[in-house]
Parts: sequence; structure tokens; C-alpha cells
Amino acid sequence: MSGRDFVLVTLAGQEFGIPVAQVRDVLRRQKITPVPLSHPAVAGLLNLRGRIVTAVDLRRRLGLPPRDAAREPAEIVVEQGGDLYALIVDAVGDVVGVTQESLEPVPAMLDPLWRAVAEAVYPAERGLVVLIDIARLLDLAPTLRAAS
Amino acid sequence: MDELLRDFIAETTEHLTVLDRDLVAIEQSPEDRGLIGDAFRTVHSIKGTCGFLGLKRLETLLHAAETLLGKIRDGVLPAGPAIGMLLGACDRAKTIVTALASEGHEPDGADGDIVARLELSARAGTAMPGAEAPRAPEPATGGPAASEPATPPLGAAGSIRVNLDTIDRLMAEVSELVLTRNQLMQMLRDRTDGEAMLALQRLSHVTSDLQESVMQTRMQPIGQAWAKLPRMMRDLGRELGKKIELKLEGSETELDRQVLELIKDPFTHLIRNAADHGIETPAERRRAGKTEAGTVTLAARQEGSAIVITLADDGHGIDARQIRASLRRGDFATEAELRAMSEQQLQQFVFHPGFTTAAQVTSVSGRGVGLDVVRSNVEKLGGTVELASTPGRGTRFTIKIPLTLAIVPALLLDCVGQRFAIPQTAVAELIRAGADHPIEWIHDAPVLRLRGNLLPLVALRDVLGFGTPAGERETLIAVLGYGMQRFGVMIDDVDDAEEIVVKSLSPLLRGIKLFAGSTILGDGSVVLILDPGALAAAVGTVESVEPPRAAPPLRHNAVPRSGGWLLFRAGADTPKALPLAAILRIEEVAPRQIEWIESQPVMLYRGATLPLHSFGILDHAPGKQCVVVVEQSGKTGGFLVDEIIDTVDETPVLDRTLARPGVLGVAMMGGRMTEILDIADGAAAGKGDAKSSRSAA
Repeated sequence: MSGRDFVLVTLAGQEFGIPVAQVRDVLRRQKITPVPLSHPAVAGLLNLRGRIVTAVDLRRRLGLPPRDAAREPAEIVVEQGGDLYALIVDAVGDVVGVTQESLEPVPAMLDPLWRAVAEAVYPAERGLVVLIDIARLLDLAPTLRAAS
Repeated sequence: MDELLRDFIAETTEHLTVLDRDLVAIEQSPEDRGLIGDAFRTVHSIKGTCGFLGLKRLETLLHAAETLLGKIRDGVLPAGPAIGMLLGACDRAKTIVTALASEGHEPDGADGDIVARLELSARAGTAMPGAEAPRAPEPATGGPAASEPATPPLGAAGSIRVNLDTIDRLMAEVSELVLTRNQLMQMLRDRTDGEAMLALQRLSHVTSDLQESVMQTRMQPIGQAWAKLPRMMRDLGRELGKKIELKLEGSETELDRQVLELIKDPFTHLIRNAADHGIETPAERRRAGKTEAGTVTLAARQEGSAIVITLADDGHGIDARQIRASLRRGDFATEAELRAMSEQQLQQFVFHPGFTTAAQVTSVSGRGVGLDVVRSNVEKLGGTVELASTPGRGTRFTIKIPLTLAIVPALLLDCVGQRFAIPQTAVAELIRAGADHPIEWIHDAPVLRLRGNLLPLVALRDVLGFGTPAGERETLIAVLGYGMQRFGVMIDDVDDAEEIVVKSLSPLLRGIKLFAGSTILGDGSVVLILDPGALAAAVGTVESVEPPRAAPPLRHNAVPRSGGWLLFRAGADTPKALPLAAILRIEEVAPRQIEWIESQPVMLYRGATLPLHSFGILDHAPGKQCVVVVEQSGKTGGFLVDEIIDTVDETPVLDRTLARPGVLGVAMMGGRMTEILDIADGAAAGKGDAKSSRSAA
């Protein structure tokens, strides 16, 4: 695990890292079919070249305030367990290479919602980047339990 | 593993299954020379390849079986006594082939026991050549073994073996192609560009043909799934000490292999069930004046885009009395409910999960074990199971399943601006509610009267959690059938019919029972597919047989079968009915005579306080009212009435799905849908008042 690449995405000014190994595509302006009765973080379903992709709004998933309606979001498609998911973020940025030694453990005082999905923290020059564990990000059951 | 060996294993597995079936058939008709010839040739052919591949153990075993079969074929030995031994050899061969498949070589071990017995029997034949065993009038289909060429392997006659994964992948790709074609057609619908349209049309035709051809490759005769049944039935019969004949009809009927795979287990289950619990012992059958051997008939036929499979036995059928007794014991239904149920309704309980797993119920007939699983498996395929049973005569299961699962015709429904797909097999009809078919309300539950039946309704927007209530009286209703259930789903509009490819939902959404999957439409948009079973559950009719938690007073009350009923109106529009037998008298009462004890309206009656059931009438400045005074078990109570309609002498057929505290259920009386009130609730009046006043407002 020495040296992995992460795509940087922005959410409400905070930078997060998505493992490049799982990224399949970056989209914009997709027509999304809402799914009634689903978890609040699920934005709906979209058609990516004949494959059905489940879209998850990361602001809602991470307990951040809703996006300014005028701002157009971006979608980054990741694969997890053979299924495709589109993560809705504010913006998609560069790719950074991260070595195991440069990582910091997840701080204990981090928001529990974030801590549950964070793999580690990477201190970039501009600020701290929260590296996301996709499997944990898409495991919405614990959050449901916490909510109830 | 070596390609040659892999082919051999696949082929031999099939051959041994066929051999199994033939041997059982020979046992039943030992004079069938053709069958014996077939069995001989099958064994000979496998043995030949064994020698070629150097599979010594299998070769020795099959050689012994072949020798014995040869004697039978030549009429030297009778078939009957040898079959058990030959089946044993067949089983051993299967074990060896299974090990061969997993390990790549023959497993260690010896078959001396079986081989010795086979050889001994065969020698017994030579010891008395030409004994009484009748000689075949003409030689069996082939010549003697030595000169006979082995049956050509399946691959020789213009066919090849293709991995199933390859075909599945091909099917998935063709499905995508069909969708893309649909999408293209939609995009170019309004174009008048002649040449492009011509090309598109050609593409469209080729795509349809291709789809059909690929689908054809996935089709298999249902007989393949049935191949193991004769053997199973034979063993079951021996084990249970019963004589059972298995008849297979329509085994050439073709079915998508995926569907075939999915119905295999449910059918095995049903057949075991029929043998175990349907067919009686020979002694019982003699006593009942039947033939000693019971018959189980499995028949398949195609009906449009569905396959209908029936499984019938001529056993003792399902005894309604026994079901009643076990329901009573199992606390599934009240006396009143039991009395109101028809035989047919009672029989349906065998599909109820709780019913079948209850230990004390299995001892009654055992006839229900796991039938809930059978039904849910079939319904998962978009199919239906129906049951008809005549006590003493037998039971018949009718199973209807779609030909293929890959592409299903669906109806697109509109609800609050969003489209949803529903499999067309589930939709019986579409009805516009309005003047001709008004939606009526019983308490908070909407119903539709349809050809004399009450159709419970559910609003799709409620089920989907859209919340906005359907206030308007005019709405479109999709009448759905799910198992024995019929119900209506209120929708905004019907959009279109389209063929769809069902795609499963991601794990994130799998918890939502309402959706069976999603699909991409011709216009590229994604829609969710509604699960008819989940909708049925939302209506509440599916679990209507559960203990009536909502209406505890029910338990102590029976619906009088006849003896006259008083029909009246109170509060809401729906007429209400009370049994005349329970009515003491009808009193006229002025508003000032009614008093309140906390939230309970009461009146003075013969020097005592009479609690009143007011149906919310008292909320709207009433004038003079009638009070129906009833008595039960020494307690009296009153029902406030707006208007007496009539008295009728009818036996109500009670629909309990709309029961609630104070109301036993709903029935057609005097030509109108009527609520049958619970007399006992008169004494404990006021319980349901808050609710009934809301619905009356």
C-alpha cells in the first residue's frame, strides 16, 4: 500500500479523496430518476450507457448543508461490489498520489458521520484531505440505525 | 482439465440421467423392447468412451451392467428383478463421474460388490438359456452389441456444446440491442427521411429475429427438468409403502432455461408433497374404492406467452374440516371468520407461511409444509399458483409462469409526474373510476364495486410516500391480480406499454420491497419496476388471515347466518346492518335526552344508563334521532341512527379485509355494500367514535 492515487473532490469547501482504482467516469448534468422510500442520501438512478447507476448525494450523506441551487454539481462514478454508483459532489479536481507514510490517522474529534467513512487523512499543502473508503460510504444501514 | 474429459463428464452426466429414467420406465413396462434397447445402447456408449479415456473403474462397472442388460435385451432374463441392481450401478457410476469432475481422475475405491452381483445375475441367465423368458419376436432396434456402433455423441448431429454463460451473455447483449433499437425508433419516430427509415426498419427486423433466435437457444424442453422425477417417485413409493404412478404429459414443451432452473425445486417439492401426503396407502385406497396405485400427473402446455403446468394427484384431497381444526388450534382465525370462509378460502391456507410451519398443523395432513415457499418462488418469476382440491378425489395445483424472464412486457404508470413500470402479467384490467364506477369509502379504506365484488383499493401515491391525497373522485385504477388476491391501484395515468429488461437494484436500494428492479426505457430514462406482491401487501389483503390484532372484539362474536337484518344509515354514507335477533327495540330520542359522560354519549333507558354508539352524528347539530337498542350477553347498548333503510332476510358473505373495531366486515346486502356491525360493541359504545366522525365529515 505504498502509493495510491486519489481524485480530489470538493464538498462545501472541504476536500475529500476518492480512490482512483474505483473511479469509472466523471459526469455532468445527468437526468436522475428519484427513488421513493429510499435513504435520504440516495438521489436516484441514472443511465450510464445502458447501465443503471445509483446516485448518492455526498452532501446529504456527510451531513453537509444543501448545495446552492444555482451551482451545478458534478458526478463521479465509482464501482463497488460490481455495481456502479454516481457520487454527487460540488466539483472534481486533480489526482494526487499518496504514500502510506504521509497519511495521518482519522482524528477522534471528527464528525461521526465523516469518521465512519474516512480511511485516513492526507495533509495536502492547501489543507487536510479526508480519504474516503467507498465500501463504508455506500453502507447506509449504520446511518439509518443511528438516525432511528 | 482436458477438454475431452470435460466433454465426457458433461455428456455422461446427461446419459446417466436418461438411463435412470429408462430403467424406471422398464420396471413399469418390462416388455418394452425399445426401452431396453435404449438403455443397453446408453450403457454401451458410455463404456466405449471410458475405454478410450482409460477410465478403468467406470469401464469395469459399466461392462458388468451392459452384460446383464444384454441378457435382458435378448430375452434370456426377465427385466423386473434386475432393475434395482442396475439402478444401483447407475448411482455408483454417477458418484464416480462426480468425483471425476472435481478431482480430474477416477476416485480410489472398488465396485467389486456391485460388479459381482451384476455378473452373478447375468450368469444365472446363461445357466438356463432360453428358459421361460419370452424371446423378443423381432430383434431389438439394433444388432448384437459387438457389431453395433456406439450411439453418436450429442455433438455429432449438427450441434455443438456451448457454455451456458456464453448464452446468458449473448442474451444480455441482445436485450441491450433491443433497448437501443427501441430508443432509436423513438428518437426518429417523426423523421420522414425515407432512406434512413428504411435502414432503421431493416435493423428493427433483424434485431427482432436475432432476439427470437437467441431466445430459442435458451429454450429447453421441460422434460429435461423432469428427467429425475420417475426415479424419485419410484424411490418415494418404496420408502412410503405406496404404489404411485407418475404420468408426464407435454414434456416437449419448451421453456427458458433460467425459468426451468428456478422452478425445479418448487416442483420437486410439490411432487414429494403429493406422494407423501396426497396419495393414500394401497389399503386406504382399497377402502375408498379406488385402484391400489395412485396417479400423479404432471402436465405442461403453452398458453400464449405463458407456460401452464398442472400437478394433479388422485389422493384424498385437502380436508376443509382438518384445516379448520388446525386453524382453530393455531390461533389463525376466529370462529366467526372460520364460519364465514368458503372451502376454497380455507384451502388457500396451505400457502400461508405461519400455517405451514406450525408443528401441530403438520400432523393434521402435513400438506402445507413449505408450500408458501413454492408460491413465493413462482410469484418471484411473475407466475401464479392456484389450488383446487376435492376431498376424496384429489388435489390439483395449476402453475402459470412466463416463457422467459429476459424481456417482459410492462405497463408504464404515471404517478405524480413520475413513471413506474409494472409487469403486464399482473395487470388484469384498467378501469376509470367515476360515475359508472364510483369509489366508495368504508371507514378510511377506499373500495370499488366491480361486477358484484368489492375490490380493495390502494393509492399508488400513498404507497410511494408522495403523501398528496387523491382527493378527486375520477381516477384511473389498475386492477391487479396477485395469487388469489385481486385489488386496485389508483394511479394518475397510463403512459404506454413497453418491453423491458429487468435489472436488479443496487444493494443500497434492495431493502425497498416495493420495487422489483429498474429498467431503461426506449427514451433512455430509468424507471423503477413495481412489485405486485409488495403492492398487494400494501392493500393489507395478503395478510388478512393473520390474527385480527385491530379488532379484538371479533373473537367473541359470530355473524348470525340468517334470521333477518336491519339496514340503516348512520353518519357515513355506507349502510350499516345489525341482526334483528339482537335488537330489543327502536326508540326515538331528542337531542336533549342525550347526555355525556366524559367523551361517551349516553341516554336514560328504562331507568338505566344506555351507552350510545354515535357514528359522529352528534358532531353536527342533529335533530330527532332513532336509537336502536341491542342486547347481548345481558348487556345493552344503543346505536344512533340517521335513517332506517329496510329489513332484509339474507345471509351475508362477509369480506373481512375491511374489519375494524366495531365492524365485523363488509358484505353485499340489499344490493349495496354494507358494514356489518359488531353487536358487542354496542355495549362498549364510543370506542371507534373519534375515527368514524372523521370519515363522516
